[in-house]
Amino acid sequence: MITCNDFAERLDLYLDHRLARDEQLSVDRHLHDCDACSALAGRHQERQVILRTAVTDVVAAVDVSGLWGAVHRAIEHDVPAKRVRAWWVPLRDWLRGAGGWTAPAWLTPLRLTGWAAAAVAAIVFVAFGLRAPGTPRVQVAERQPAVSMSKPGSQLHNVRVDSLQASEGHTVATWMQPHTGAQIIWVADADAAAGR
Amino acid sequence: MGCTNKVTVLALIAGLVVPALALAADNDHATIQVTAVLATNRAKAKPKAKEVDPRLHVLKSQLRRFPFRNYKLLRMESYDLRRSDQCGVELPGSRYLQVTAVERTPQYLKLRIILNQNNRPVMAAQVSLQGNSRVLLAGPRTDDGTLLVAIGAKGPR
Repeated sequence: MITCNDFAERLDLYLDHRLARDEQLSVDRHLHDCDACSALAGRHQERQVILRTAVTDVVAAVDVSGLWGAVHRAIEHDVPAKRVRAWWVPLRDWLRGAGGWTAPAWLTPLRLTGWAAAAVAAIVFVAFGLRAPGTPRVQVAERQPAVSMSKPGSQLHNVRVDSLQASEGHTVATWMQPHTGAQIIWVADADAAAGR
Repeated sequence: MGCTNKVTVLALIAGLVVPALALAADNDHATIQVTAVLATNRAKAKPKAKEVDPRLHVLKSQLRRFPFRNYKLLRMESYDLRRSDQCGVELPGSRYLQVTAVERTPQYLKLRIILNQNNRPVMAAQVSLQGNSRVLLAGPRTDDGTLLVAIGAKGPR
């Protein structure tokens, strides 16, 4: 059981949702019992909202609608293209190195690919096709179920606010509750936000 | 081609096309639920009890984080929306919430939410909801308390 003084010491942590779970529960219980502390917490939470709202007002004036597209394009542009060396180049170089030998017409990259495919097919045929009847085949691994995009119970984390506007005389802010992940859009009168 | 054959071909086409159309329609369709709550800090008969309407049990964990003691369900409505469809919910204080389905994909549902007061827009937001998620619109004051409105997606995935 915590006292009003204990609560006052923990007020900042409580407001920032940084208390341990058992402490959070103790504070919640205390707030249910104590009107003064509950009012104090309410006032501070309201100020937090007003502060966030004020910040959001400034941020909302900046058009960031195309930001992510630009970021993605910039990332893709900055990632150096991986230089892929054709698999037949070392073989060709090796052959060239062996006494200035010139590759015959059948050893062009395209035809070499065809030869390689034929060779692989022949190996597969020999390895699996000539198996004695009744020999157990290689068992194909059972397909795994598709991974769910959201964990059970975490559905509130899957909300994205794409745009937010408030008309004159009102302010609007958005934030996420740390413990529940709930996305909140808070609408307030400008007078309330200004503390009037 | 005889009459019987024509009927058979038409039946086959209908058998292929109708389920495809139904599937396409199903993908385009979404159900949203709008829950309006009035939050207050009125003194209670039982000081220890936090009064949350039992019908709000789904929202209880989120409501507990708000600085209010009493949560009363005002409205809970479900709407089936297709793309560009909209629905509206009347709220206390001459307010009207308008929700429009902007886009529906297998990954998310994009909604346009407009809160009007006295026939003038107060707030407009566009949100993307994945799965059965919801967004909470909070803050509008009334004479009786503060409004909290949960807008959630339900529907086929």
